[in-house]
Amino acid sequence: MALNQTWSLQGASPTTIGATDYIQFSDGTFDNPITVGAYNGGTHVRSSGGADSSAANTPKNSKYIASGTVDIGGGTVALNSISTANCPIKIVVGYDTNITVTDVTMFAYDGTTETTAPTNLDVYLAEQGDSAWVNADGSAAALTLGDSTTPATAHNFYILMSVSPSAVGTQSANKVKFSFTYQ
Amino acid sequence: MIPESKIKFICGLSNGEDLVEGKGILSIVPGEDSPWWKLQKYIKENNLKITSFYLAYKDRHFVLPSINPKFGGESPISYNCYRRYEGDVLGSGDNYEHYCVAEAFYPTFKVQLWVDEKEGEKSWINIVNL
Repeated sequence: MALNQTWSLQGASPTTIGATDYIQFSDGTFDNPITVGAYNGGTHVRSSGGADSSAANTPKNSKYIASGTVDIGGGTVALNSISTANCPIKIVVGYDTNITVTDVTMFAYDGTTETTAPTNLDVYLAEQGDSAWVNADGSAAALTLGDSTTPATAHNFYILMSVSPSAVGTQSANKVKFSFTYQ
Repeated sequence: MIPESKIKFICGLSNGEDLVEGKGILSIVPGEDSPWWKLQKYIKENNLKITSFYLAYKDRHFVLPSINPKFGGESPISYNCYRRYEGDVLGSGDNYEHYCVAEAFYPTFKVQLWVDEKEGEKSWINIVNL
């Protein structure tokens, strides 16, 4: 009996995000940089070898516009209008037996110290249905997700994620931490 | 994939039964409720109460105060047990923390007992106001 979690980048087909993969945020085209101060126009899965694993899957993207708005490719819309299918990130927490999953949080950090904001990167997170983004830079600013209180072997969470670099260069040392309680 | 839980909870009930997570009516069967939810259902259906509760790893026992505390003191009014996972989304998979947490509830506070699931050797006590 073991706990497992599966992350995928949704699209026309989902792309599983493996343990050694990166979630790559670009200007829209794979490997193209985002202008400093702008937000991602594309989200991709980048393999450890540098390949675009999501190339054939038309991956979803969520671009921060303002506190309560987002662009998923068709212009600015209300953040809380985005369907589960249009959220870029899907997380499945699974177990062999029926469990509940509660006290779920998620935040970005510099990859070393959880309280420290990501290096040269502003990270915004929202759960599907949220009306405002959370600037989830460091553990004190974590996004809190809704509880999943009906016992089941799989619990799905749908996340919108957007980033903006504050300096030139690849910012790959930053990490995202995901935490939850199960019973 | 997070390694299998090492810690098991063990509870005494008001009818004299002792139940062990993963054994007997608290067996782990894929597709069925987890041992904790099986315990809740069993208690409710039989109008029982938990009278003692501890976590165990091999021969180590991490014991919460019972309804009749061994060394005196206050009696808990209820218990809870869960696991807490905290980990990086991507990477080697090594950078995570995993705990088994048992709680004894009192009218105005709860006592938490945290045991490290990775090693099964470290534990922490926490008092939380309600």
